[in-house]
Amino acid sequence: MKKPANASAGKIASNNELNQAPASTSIFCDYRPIEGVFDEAVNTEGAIRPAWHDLIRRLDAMGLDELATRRQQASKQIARDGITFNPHDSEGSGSRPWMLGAIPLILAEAEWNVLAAKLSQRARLMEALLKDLFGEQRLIRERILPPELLFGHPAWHPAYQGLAPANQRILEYYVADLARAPNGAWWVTGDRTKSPFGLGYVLENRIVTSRMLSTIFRKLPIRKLAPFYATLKEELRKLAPRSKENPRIILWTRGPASRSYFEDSYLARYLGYTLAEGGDLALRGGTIHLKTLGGLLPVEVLFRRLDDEDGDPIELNSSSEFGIPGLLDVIRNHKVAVSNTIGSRLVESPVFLPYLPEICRTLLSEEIQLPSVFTWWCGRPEDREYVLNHLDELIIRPAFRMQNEAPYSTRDLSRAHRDELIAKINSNPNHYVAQESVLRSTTPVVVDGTIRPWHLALRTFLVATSDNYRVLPGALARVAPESTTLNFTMTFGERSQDVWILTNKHVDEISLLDSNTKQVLPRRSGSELPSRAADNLYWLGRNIERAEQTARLYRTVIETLESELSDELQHGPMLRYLAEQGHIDPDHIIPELNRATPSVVDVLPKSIFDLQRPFGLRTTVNNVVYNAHRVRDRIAPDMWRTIDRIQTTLDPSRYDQNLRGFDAILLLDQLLADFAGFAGLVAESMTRTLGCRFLDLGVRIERSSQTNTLLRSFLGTEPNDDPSIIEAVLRVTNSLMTYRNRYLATYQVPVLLDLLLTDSTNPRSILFQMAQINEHLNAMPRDEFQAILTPEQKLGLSIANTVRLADIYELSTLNRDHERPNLLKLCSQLDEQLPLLSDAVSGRYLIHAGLPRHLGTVDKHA
Amino acid sequence: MPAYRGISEQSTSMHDMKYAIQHKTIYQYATPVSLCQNVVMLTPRVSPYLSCSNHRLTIRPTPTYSHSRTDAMGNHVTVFAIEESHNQLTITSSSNVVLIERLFSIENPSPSVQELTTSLDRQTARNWFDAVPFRYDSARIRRSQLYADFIRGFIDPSTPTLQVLHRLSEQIHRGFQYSKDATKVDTPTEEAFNGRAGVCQDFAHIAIACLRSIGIPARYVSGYLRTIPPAGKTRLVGADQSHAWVSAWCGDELGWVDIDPTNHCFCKLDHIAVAWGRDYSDVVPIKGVFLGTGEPKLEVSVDVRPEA
Repeated sequence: MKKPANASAGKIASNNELNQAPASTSIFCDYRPIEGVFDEAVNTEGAIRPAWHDLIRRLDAMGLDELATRRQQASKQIARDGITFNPHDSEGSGSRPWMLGAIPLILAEAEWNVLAAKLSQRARLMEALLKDLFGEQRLIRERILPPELLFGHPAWHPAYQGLAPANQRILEYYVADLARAPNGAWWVTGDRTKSPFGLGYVLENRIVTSRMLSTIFRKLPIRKLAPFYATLKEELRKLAPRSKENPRIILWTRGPASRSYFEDSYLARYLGYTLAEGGDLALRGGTIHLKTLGGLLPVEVLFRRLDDEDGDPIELNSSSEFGIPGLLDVIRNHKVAVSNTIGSRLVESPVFLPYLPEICRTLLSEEIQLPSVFTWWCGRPEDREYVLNHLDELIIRPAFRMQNEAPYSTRDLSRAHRDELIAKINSNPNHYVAQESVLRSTTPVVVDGTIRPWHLALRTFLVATSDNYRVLPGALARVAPESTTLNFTMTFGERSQDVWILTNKHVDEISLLDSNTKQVLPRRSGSELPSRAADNLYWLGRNIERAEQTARLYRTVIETLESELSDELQHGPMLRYLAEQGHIDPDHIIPELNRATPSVVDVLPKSIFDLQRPFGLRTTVNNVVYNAHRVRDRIAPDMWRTIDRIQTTLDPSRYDQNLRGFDAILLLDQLLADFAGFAGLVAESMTRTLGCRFLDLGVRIERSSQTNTLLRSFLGTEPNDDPSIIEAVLRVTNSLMTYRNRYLATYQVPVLLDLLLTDSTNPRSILFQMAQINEHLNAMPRDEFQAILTPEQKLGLSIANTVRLADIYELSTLNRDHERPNLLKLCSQLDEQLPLLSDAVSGRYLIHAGLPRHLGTVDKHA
Repeated sequence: MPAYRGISEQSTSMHDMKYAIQHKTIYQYATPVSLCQNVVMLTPRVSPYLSCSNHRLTIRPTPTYSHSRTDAMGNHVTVFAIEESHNQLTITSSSNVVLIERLFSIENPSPSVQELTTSLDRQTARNWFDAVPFRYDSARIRRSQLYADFIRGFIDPSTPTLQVLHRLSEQIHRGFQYSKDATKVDTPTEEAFNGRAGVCQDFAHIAIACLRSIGIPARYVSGYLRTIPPAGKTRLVGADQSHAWVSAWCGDELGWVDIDPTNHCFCKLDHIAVAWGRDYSDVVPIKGVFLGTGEPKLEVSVDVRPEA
């Protein structure tokens, strides 16, 4: 095969535009493009391209130092928002923060529109290709595509054939990766047809950049992104098979373990869709439903963000834990639409690239306008010969791309590895394609205080409209110092940049955060809370309360012990409680052993970080982070930031190995301030939805339970009614101020018990918690015709009444064994009933029926 | 192994065969199951050599929801769900089928391997499009040098395709041990091949892998086998089993030819096809999920009763 017009050669486009070199005072005066490479900002004569004039003038006015400062601020914002690639890792390792460059990429609208038209054609082509492969298979029958490209494709499954209705769009969105060659032409380096990965990062780039360069952003005529997302919503809505007006659309994620989970939750919140995992969805009565607290709600459209073969564990990959059993048949019966259609990933493979021009002629009767980077399929003998003869100029990729397999470049290989690769190609030629590597264009990037040309990869996004595709007027730009780095998958890109398409026309003032084109009627949301989300919110509440109590306990203990340096045995109840809760080893409370063990005040600061202790502070905070991750789409960004800060504060690497009492107190002070901040956000910025109620339910049940245990340990058995102990109880329960206001420095047990048990006005008392719990339980969704109380309502009322009727003087009475039998009795009653209440709530609302299991595969053909 | 002896002597005198088939599957759950969803392929597959009347698929308890469709390979598929609590699921498929003998023998002319594969590679065979989907790898079968070397040990490119089938079946029948303990339902084909042991499913997969590795299209057929009781014994009702064999494409004249490597014979009047696909995973008779705990107890009985 002859080598066609080369992507990397060709004359460099000269520019007869206004020749205007940057002024010597400009921050761009030392910017020199690389010889033989197209530069986005500067032409070959060193003149700034017209579209960039305005930006550069304004950046000059700002100066590099200010720009650097703003970029730092932006990086902080990105860190606070927790924008990472791999954010599910609970320990925080392995996740990379999103790196955003300060200077956006500028493209003139006139040029962009030409590119956009070509991109639209390519999207139409990809859809036509998919439709043909999943339908008539004309391309194979007419011998345009070798049969192996479909029937031998590992991503092919016969179940995809005829799956989606013939008259329906099957490619709602399409993503093309582009590179610009030295002659100024754009080439497609990859097609993405499964899911629009990057669409959330584009938004975040725009939001951060528009804040970072707010004055410039407002002055320049930049095309807005929001209408694109509105179109996406509109198109997904139109897919709904039944209720076109207000269909329930789900963003279907693989869950927190998925690499795209950050973006999934981000997009779900931005687009206003419920984020759901396979386990939140169920097939009942032939349609798909979302399992919520309010019952099953019908789902019409699934915006799919997981792999094709994971979609249905009955018909496709039976080991998938993320799918919906039986889904494919529901699609066939037109009861639900999945977008992009299941199986759409097939045409991402580079093996189709050499055939695209012919496919385009056959299916669209058009010539292809936007070429792919030149690709040879080693399955064709003449291609293989060319590839083996030009191996060092090419990059080698798996022909049937399944995942983000890294390409090989023989230049990076040792002799032995190179020979091995050749042997592999020869023994399995069909599995490989070779591609030309485009020497990518460059764009200005601020590096170490200077502006340098970095190479550019552009990811563009398209969404279907009724008869064509609409291109996002913007893109995800990745920049790196080496052109070849960008041939790797997205995560390898060194930095990202916002892309500004500058228009001459008036820019519609649509707010980015208000994408609705239609007027929306006010709604009171809430019942659409998936059980899984409710479960996580409930445990988030419990864990955050437990963490707060633990932090306050540590602080109280350390303060008490530090301040007196007296015999620790005086604080018997306090130490006993610490040991019971697993914060210190039991040795400390056995008098015979106590002398031999290191003092508690030395040990306790270390156990703050000890992950071995199941109820330890750091363990509990890790649980908080885990729960928060899983409901990230349902909590406010500020709440997320607070949790992030709590986790950072508890990072042991920030502290001296031998953290002393005083430093520990400072640390705990900081934590407690953050916990208070979180509680404030819950009170002030979470709408009073069911989700909020579950979070608070968790907090209240945990607080009752903690206070109860504390009272029993400190005041029940062998109490030591020393004022310092009573004060400690008040400190741990955060009620010291209230107590002092009322009783000054007179420490007496009955009034203490009143304050912490039966005082309905103290937000720390158990009675107050029970009142809140009962209010939440009354507000839970239930069968409206059911007149009698639910078991958990009865239990809640019963506990509240028990506490309310308790007599504080009787409770305080000591018997001969130096115990408070009545208090102990009440405590053990609560100890038994509070977990029952928690279980009753879980049983009714939270634990869903579990994952479906496969029927035995014992029925083997014998 | 379904007891099967010497079909060729008996079938020469017959031109068709009638059967009443009943295939009953019972799942007994350890604890009540609140929901099950199933996809079953239990309807005999009609072809020029098989006609089916009186097919009934009975499911107890009665499904909340059920419907039937034809899959991409033309098999009849029934999808159903039971959305009420149940302890036991019973699926009974009963059919009356008539098999018409396909008249051919090993002496029939067929293209050589070389001719056949070339006509497919160049897409010159009239029916190439029907054959090619079964030439490549599938979920359970990966073509490899291993299989190609094995089959090339007893054929060469000039061997007629029918002979290839016959010799391959003979080699598997002779060289592989029939053993129910050697493999499980999900044992990889290569493992069964290396262990030289297995049951009909493994033998079918191995034969397909060998055929595809030299470019011959081959598919997996699931169905039933008539069992002939030992001399002097009466036929035991329900003692039959579901069975599997291979169908290979032998050129435009013969088309798809079925051969049973487990019993080393061409399939004529004793094999009742239900479904075919690229391998077992395309034609699993019953698959599905349920919500519940414990391993369900499975009871299967197949009865293939010849009728006058």
